[in-house]
Amino acid sequence: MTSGLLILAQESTVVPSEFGRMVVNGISLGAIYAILALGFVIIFKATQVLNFAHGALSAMGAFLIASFATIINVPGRWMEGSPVWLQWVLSVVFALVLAALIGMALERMFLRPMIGEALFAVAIVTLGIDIIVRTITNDFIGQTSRPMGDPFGLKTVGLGCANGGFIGEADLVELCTVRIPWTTVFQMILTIALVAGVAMFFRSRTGIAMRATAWDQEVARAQGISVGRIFATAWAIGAVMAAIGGLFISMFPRRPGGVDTFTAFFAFRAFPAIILGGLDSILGAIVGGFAIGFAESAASTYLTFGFLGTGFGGVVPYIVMLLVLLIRPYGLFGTEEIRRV
Amino acid sequence: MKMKTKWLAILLVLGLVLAACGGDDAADTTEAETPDTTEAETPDTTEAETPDTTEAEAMILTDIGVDLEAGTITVGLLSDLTGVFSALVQPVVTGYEAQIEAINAAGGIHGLDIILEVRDTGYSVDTHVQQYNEIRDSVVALGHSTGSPHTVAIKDQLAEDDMLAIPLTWYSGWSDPALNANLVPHGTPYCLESMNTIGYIVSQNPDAATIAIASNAGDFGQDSAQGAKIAAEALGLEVVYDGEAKINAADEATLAEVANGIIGSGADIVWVTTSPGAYSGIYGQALAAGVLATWSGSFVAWNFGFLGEESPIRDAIQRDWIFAYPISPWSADTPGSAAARELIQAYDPDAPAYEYYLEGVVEAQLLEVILNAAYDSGDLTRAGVLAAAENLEFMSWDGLAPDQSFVGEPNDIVQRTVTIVRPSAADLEAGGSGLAVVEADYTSDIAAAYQFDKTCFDAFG
Repeated sequence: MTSGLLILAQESTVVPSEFGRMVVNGISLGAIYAILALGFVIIFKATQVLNFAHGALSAMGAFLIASFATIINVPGRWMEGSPVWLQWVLSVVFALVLAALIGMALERMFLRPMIGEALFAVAIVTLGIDIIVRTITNDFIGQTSRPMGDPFGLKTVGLGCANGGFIGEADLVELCTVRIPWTTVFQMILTIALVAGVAMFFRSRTGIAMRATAWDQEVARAQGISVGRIFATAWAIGAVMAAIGGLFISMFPRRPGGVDTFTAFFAFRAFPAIILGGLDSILGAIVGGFAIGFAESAASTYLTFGFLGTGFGGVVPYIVMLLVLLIRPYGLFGTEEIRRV
Repeated sequence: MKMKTKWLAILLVLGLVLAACGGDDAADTTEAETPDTTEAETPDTTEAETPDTTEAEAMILTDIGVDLEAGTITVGLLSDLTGVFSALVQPVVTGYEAQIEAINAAGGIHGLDIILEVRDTGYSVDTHVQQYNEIRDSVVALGHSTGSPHTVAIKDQLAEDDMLAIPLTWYSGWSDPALNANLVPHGTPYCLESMNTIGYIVSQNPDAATIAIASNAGDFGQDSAQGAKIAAEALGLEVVYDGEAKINAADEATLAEVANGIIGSGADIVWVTTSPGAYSGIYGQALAAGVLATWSGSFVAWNFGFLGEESPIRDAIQRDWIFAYPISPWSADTPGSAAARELIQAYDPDAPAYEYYLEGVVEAQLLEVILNAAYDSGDLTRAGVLAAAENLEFMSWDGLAPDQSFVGEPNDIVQRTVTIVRPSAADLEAGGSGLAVVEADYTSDIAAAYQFDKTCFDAFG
């Protein structure tokens, strides 16, 4: 039996600026929504499929990352002595490759046979995929929390700290106006890199073929483009984006316990961002993601009046989405469809 | 088109097979029953039952769920095996099955084997009622009933059927005779758990002056939050943030809102009652903002995964977190705990050290004592089993859980004792669940003095 307990000597509690916290949280949420929206939009843009399995893919991807980084420790188990960050990055890469392969396999097994069928029926198939992938993933997650094993820990970058330092690694008891977790910095950098990568991809030969396929499958096929390969590529990229979104969700400070059975539901919160930006717009996914992230963060911080009830921050994204749709029915950057009636 | 139809048919079949792998009611029932029937019953029937059964047939009253000829007593378990609390309830059921198998191997209830009829409720009230209706004509009692609203939903049927139920929930409302006519609640109710834990924290740190309280809505969260408020008032703690009922574990926006409230409050003590994932999310956001406080809440928030080597909060929670458990933690140094550990490890060598297995053992041992008492009274009817439970003056788990009486008024019999624990990586590395005992058999002055004559939080009006 252990006797005695170290109860904290209560020092004056550090309370960083409320506005600063709101902005940091908005950046973090925005990055998550933007990446999730990006994956969703790429699949929709290339295949016209509304992928309701995106949440399940994000939980599965996060679990794969946790598995490679911590549970089976691959390739770290063969890299003793190498930097921890390198081991982790390679684990993430391995997991993303596997997620991409699974995405391609799902497309081949469940979606390819549906080419030519009504889009509504295809969307329903993705609901079935969601249930299957989510159930299997949750069974694997099991009873314990599954941390991501990232090398960032609890470290934060402090701005406007009491010790006079303006930017530096802040200790947890150090008073700072704003504290940005390194995980948030990582999310921002990776988001920018991915957006740039996707933009470059759409200028590549395969990217142009994907745009052509999205425009008209028959014409693309007549031009020698393998539509099936384009679909598979879109699902691979979508699954990778979903996995990265799942990683962002499951890190400190949002879920320091890691991926759990709620992770799959988080992705559905990105839908307002997708609709707001425009279902088929890459730029819209980014702008919509950050707009909704900041709106939700601001509402969670400032709109906490009793008469609004609890969790009004979760409602605000939908209000913003509805207001924008009243003015721009195809979203901020979506392609307008003109129909003769 | 024909080709497409064929593919769709194949995919549909594949989907159904995969979905079946996820676990459904039928599969759960089969899993739970088959081992009991094959592994435990057969030897007992030949070795011990024949003479006892003959004797029993002459002396024992029975009605539903007891078959003296077959030598069986059938008990129902209404368990959440696939719902939001499945990660907690699955090990409870495993612990239950392990203990029942041991009881049967040791001769059962005077030669009668206990058969478990395990039904998955998915933590849905409707499914709970439906499953109860399906088994009500085949079981003598409910070995547990998971969830407070779920148990309340079947209370009228329980009364009508003279059916005993052991609630798998620590709601203080079981003190209300209108709710608990047929229930045998064990363990410390959520609100007394709050009074004990906060009382302990303040006893160790008398300078603590403020507290932030947040919880899920409903019987679990708000019962706990009310207990925290009662403790705060008794101890002179100022409630600087009141987030009672503000947490929805599945809604990230509520977690951010509550985290903001706690961060802004500057509280010395933070009391949060919710699920493990939501708890760690709120804690993480507060930690990132630099909040330093003593964190506690209902023990349900604990998950040993938080102490894993890769967990970013591994060190911080050992500094900040403290809980109270209604039963002894996995590593507790008591005869009952040692026996239960040995039992679980023998039954399922892959089972991780986890208190929820022990909770199953606690419930099964209580059931065994009740059934033995009913047999001894010569009445194994449902009413007889219920009467045996209501007349159980003393129950000892040999330190696996605090001793308890079930005879008297709620204020006299309610369990007020807990074990104070804290996260410990050393305990986890030594094969434990990561919870080290700080103080066993602890009852705070507030919990001891609290007049438990009504529910702390009326969730069911």
